[in-house]
Amino acid sequence: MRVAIIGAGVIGLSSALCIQEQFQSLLPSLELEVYADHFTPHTTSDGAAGLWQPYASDRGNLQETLWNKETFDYLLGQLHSPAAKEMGLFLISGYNLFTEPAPDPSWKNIVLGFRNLTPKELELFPGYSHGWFNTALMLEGRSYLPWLTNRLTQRGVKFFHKKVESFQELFSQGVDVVLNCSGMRSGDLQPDPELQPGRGQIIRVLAPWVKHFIITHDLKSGVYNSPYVIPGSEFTVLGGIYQHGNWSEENSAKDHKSIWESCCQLLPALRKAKIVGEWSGLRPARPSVRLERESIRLGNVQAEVIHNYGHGGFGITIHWGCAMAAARLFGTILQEKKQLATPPGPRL
Amino acid sequence: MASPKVAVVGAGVIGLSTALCITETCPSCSVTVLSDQFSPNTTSDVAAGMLIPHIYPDTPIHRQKQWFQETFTYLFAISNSAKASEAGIHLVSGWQIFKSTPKEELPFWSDIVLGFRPMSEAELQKFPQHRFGQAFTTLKCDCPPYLLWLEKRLKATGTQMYTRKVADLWELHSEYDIVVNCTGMGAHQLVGDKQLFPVRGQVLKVHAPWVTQFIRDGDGLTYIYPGIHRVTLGGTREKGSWNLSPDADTTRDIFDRCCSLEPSLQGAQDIEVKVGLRPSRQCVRVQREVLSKGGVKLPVVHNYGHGAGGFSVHRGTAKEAAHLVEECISALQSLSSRAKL
Repeated sequence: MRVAIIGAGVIGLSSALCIQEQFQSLLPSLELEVYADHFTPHTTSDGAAGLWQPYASDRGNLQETLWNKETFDYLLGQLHSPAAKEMGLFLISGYNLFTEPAPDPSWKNIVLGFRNLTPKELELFPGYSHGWFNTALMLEGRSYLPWLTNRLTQRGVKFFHKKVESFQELFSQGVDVVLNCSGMRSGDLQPDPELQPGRGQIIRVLAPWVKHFIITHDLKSGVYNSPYVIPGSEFTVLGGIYQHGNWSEENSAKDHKSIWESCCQLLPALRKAKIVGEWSGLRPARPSVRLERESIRLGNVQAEVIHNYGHGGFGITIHWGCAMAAARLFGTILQEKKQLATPPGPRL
Repeated sequence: MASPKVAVVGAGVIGLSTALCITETCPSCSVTVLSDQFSPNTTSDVAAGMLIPHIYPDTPIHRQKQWFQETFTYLFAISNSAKASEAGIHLVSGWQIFKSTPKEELPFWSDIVLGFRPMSEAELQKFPQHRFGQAFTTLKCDCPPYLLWLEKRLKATGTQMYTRKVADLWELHSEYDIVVNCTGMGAHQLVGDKQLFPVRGQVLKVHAPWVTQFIRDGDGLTYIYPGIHRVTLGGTREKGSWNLSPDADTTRDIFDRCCSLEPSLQGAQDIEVKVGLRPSRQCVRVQREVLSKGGVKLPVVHNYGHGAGGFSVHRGTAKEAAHLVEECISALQSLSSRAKL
């Protein structure tokens, strides 16, 4: 049973790992293969700061909220394991700031210690009248993706550096199931007008005195179009750009200026911070995540595709819940193909 | 007295902040800092510099609270400004945890730090051996940056600083009008204060940049304080020990205790071991005194004995000491004007 995963970002690698962990022992003939044109550190996931935080308003999508929760709980459980450092996983507290009252987010009971900001705390952020404080998690792609890759390699998963042009290409080589985790480029494999780039740009600086994330919100300009500061283990990420429909992966001088000025206004001490890098990436934005099976008829064979893409700016936040859901879909496929007598239970 | 000459003895956080306060309250004063040690070799450089007060048994609580409030307000303004990184001042959030619920669940400083509240059940799950905790955000003064920044501000006011071991305050009476004694543990010898005793603290300073939260056991013995470049792991409280040499078994013990609270510290790199003697006293001595010898008088202002709480109250005690210096100047001026009559 050959399973091909297209995409080696956080979604592809974690989906591969979930399937491997749950089914390898039950199905010795299982062969997993990861195909991608970009591997870490050149994926979209590598550019993300790595903060676990869903959007402030949940778009009314309860399923996504559940996947977010599953991811947070899973990561929290990993926090004390010896792997945490290697995974790039650690706790971080911080601030969400608003210029007007905002309803509590869907994730207020998922994170730790969620509360409103006190007047004294708001003095730190002139111009903002309301806000939240909570403790969440960082999962840095630059560490997590290599960690996932190592686990997968140790378990015999094969990696192929190649751009897959179509699902058919893989099926004609004898692949039985394809996991489509191709993020922004899913449209090249199968047109999807709902998938659009949410272009982001970030500046990386050295500001090790910043120990909190600060995410501002401007309900008028939309998600991520307002400055944010996210400290990581090696550098701090400054951002605040979200351009729907913009496919450019080139750094823009205008966006640089906007990020720099707005973040320095938020945290004056940043003016002394040394800039060490800049990056632009495309959030694979979609009104909702596409996580579903698709059966494709190819001649007299039924080929199965599991789609798992469209995670916008919350891929890291939602990845594990989606990977587990993708694994469940895979289990159903196996049952239908009579590869399994009974469905597998959750992996302990 | 046109330009009173003030000598501040001691260049730790107390000496430097007191000198700075004196230049602020008495711009006409000529201030000189004398110390046998400067940053990075002072007791203050060993400390993590966390603003979490230590309770002095014999100082009235309202006074301790005022000192802490003044210090917190002063540093809060710096942390919020463009100078924050140079001054080494930053906000840090975290938890103080207790194995058994403390009798005082609300310490006197709970309304001064930011966002103080009891920890939730979910947060306490991270610490299975502890049943109660407090979450809050406070400030940290990283040393050497903070001391170097104070030195820079002092130099800008024209304050001179000299490396000099003062063996006796009387050495200074011919060159200076007023002496301010900020010698910390040195006061034991210098002024013969037997109420002052060392409490030895050993700490590890490690590279672990993924640690963003502070964790402090309410017993004061185990703590993890993330600074700008290094995380301070502590510690010990060895009353009466004058030993400034690091102890290897203690290092192992501190590391183990901290790892049990924060397992990811197993991956910490570049471990540096430091020892400091907290200059401890039942109450902080912020007091005027006039020394007298052979008809000569020497006004002295004492500001020492801050024990484990130096950073937490430094600005408040510095301001108080500066006021006492003003009183000394008034007294000297009225003396000299009477002498003229």
